[in-house]
Amino acid sequence: MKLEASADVIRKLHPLEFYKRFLPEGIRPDGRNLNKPRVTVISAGSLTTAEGSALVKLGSTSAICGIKAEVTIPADTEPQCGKLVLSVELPPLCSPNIQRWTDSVEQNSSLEVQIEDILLKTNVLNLEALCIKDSSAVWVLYVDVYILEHDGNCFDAALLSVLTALTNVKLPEVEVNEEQIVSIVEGGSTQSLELNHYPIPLSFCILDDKLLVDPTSEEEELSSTCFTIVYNNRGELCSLYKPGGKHINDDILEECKQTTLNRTEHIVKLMKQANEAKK
Amino acid sequence: MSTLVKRQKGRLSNQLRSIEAQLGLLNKADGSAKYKQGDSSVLAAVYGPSEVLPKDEKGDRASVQVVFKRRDGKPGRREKQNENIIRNALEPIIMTHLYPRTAIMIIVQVLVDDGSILSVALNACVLALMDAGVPISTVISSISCSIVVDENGSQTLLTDPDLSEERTSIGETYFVFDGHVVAKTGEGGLVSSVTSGLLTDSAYTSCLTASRSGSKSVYTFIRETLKRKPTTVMAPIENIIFERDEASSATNGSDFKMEDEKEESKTFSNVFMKPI
Amino acid sequence: MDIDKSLINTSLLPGDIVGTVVQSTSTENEGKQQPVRIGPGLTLLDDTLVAVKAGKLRYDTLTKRYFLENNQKRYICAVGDMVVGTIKETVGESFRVDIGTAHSALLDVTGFDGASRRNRPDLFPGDLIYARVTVANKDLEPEITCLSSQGTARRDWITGQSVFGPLKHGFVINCSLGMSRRLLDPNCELFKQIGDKCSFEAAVGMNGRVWITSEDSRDIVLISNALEYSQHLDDQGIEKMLNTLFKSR
Repeated sequence: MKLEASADVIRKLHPLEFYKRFLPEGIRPDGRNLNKPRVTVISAGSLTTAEGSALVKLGSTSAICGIKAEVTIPADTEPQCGKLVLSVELPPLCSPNIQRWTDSVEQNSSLEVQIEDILLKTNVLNLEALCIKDSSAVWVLYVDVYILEHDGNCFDAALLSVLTALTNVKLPEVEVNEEQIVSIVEGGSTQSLELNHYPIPLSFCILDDKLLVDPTSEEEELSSTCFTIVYNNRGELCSLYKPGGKHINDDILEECKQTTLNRTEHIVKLMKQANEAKK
Repeated sequence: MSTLVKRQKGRLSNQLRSIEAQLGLLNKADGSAKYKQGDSSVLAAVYGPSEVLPKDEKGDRASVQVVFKRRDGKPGRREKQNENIIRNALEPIIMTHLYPRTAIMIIVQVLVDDGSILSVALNACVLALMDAGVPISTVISSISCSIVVDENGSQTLLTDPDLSEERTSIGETYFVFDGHVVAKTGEGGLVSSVTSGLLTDSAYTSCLTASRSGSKSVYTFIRETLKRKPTTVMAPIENIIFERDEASSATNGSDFKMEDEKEESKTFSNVFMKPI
Repeated sequence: MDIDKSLINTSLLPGDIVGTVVQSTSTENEGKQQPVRIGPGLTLLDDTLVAVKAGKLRYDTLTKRYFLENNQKRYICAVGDMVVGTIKETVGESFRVDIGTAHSALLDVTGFDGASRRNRPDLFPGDLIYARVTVANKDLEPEITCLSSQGTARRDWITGQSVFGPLKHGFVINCSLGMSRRLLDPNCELFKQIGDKCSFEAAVGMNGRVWITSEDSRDIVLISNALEYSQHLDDQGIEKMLNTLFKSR
């Protein structure tokens, strides 16, 4: 008796076999070529209550970032620097694999450390620009990222949302009076933040010895290794994050670095367009 | 980047610090290893395959859990990230399909942090896994590299940096290589790579190459260490030391001198208290 | 399968290639090819035989198989192994026994020589038994039995003369798997040396547990200590140690 199984059933029961039918043809189940990232949609200023915000979609993966600015006393060791507090969360609503808030603690920490290292250690933002009054008042930016839907490659969406949100932050003009009280100047100008460079990420995975660009969550689960490369618009490497998995050869690494580099211009343009549209 | 610069404490820029290891020091753990590179030292312990909590249970394989602990400070996001990186490197090589519905627990305790601590931790974990007899498909080894800039603005690559060198660096890299692939072909074999700071392409490639040759030394050291582990009984713990060869300028396996700890009389009186 | 014979009795690391599958198309070679038998520590990955543990490659002429000899503390169940277990609880018609594996083993209540529903040993949690493993599969709970294996003399459990069954009195020490194998080796002098000093009874479990009993409880303590220390000593040291330990006796 011949059982006729529909494509969906094979996809559920034997996902690797399902993919092996597509990959040799150079195509993936969602119709993309192996080296094509998903369509990136960036929208800025969606949250009116926040000083800066952005929503980024990579196919189905969506990340929203909101930045709220508050005034605080600077650290003793860096009296002229503002602060940046980053929080990334993968709530249970974004993926069936996350059933409780505690399930994603490790992933949250990992994304936070990765993004923070890129922002602070490669000097994306001049923290001195957030200084209001030396040693007494600085801005602290609370950057919150929520992954609304996790269909693979959350890191790219999260980082792009943070960068876009940072570029449309509008800080009100403030003044400090004798009693050290900070108040907003009525009718004052707004201050935007200048980014020194734009670190643009691209993630890859190796599935059945084939290189896939911008994997979906299904592809991530079946892959033997996943990694992310971040280049900025000046051609400098901001991060190469491959925590483990199967070993790769140097030529594959070079190919991926080139692919990431070629994409930076396009993404920076998208970000600038999103900010223009908001105005 | 090809010029070799002399660093503090007399090392050349591409030389590793001296390596030391001890296996089987913990009584209760299934496997344990104390691994030291220079002054950085880490104690890793492996428990398993053993009972697993129902929420972590996986139907078809063992659940690998890593705990990374520093000497001081509250465990925070960095420790979670280190756990993530170590677990991602070790889980694919452990043959977890042989032990479904069990847990393999790897505990990493940092004893002294004098730079390259994540590399030191990973190497300690690999030794501890082999000491515990957990089947792994290959041996991986890790080396870190930093880029420092001098007053003239020229960049130098430092292999296996210590803490002071790390603090003044503009970019740090951490690599893990598959020992067999590197030994066989001399290239490829990149298992893990984590970078921080801004690096030019050439800086990254130099770090990659330098770390790869450094990892060969670590791989040779691991081989020598396990060769000395007795197969029948738990003999007294031996202190295996790789001393840096001062005269040499290259870092490959042959440039290390093996130094066994002075053979103290391994008699009965050293091992327990005399009866009254 | 082409085995690299020069590697026998050398130390190997996980990932070291021991042999490769040789594809032979000529018919004359087919008759000559003998199947290669492998034991613990070796596995076939993509047509190559690789070591997966750190240890010495050995060839056992008796069972004609290649295996990796190593020493570890964690016991992994294998069919036919003799183990010393501790009863944990009674679940229906079986006992749940702790033999050191990740999952506890099941022992049928009537799994003793000459036992029936009415005539069976009364075992409580904490009691010790000597059993052999009958089912050891990675997906199932291990199963053990105290029925004598084929070929050995069958004595009812009541007589106390059976090989497998409850172990009364005495003390269990934990040791490494290598130590257990060393004790079970017919060439091992240790039990003979201890026997020269005092009389005792012992059961060696391949799960890293050794049960000792003797008439005098002080002897039990001395022998347990002797076995613990001998794990760390060579032959000379063992002799010295035994002399000092039993001097006071």
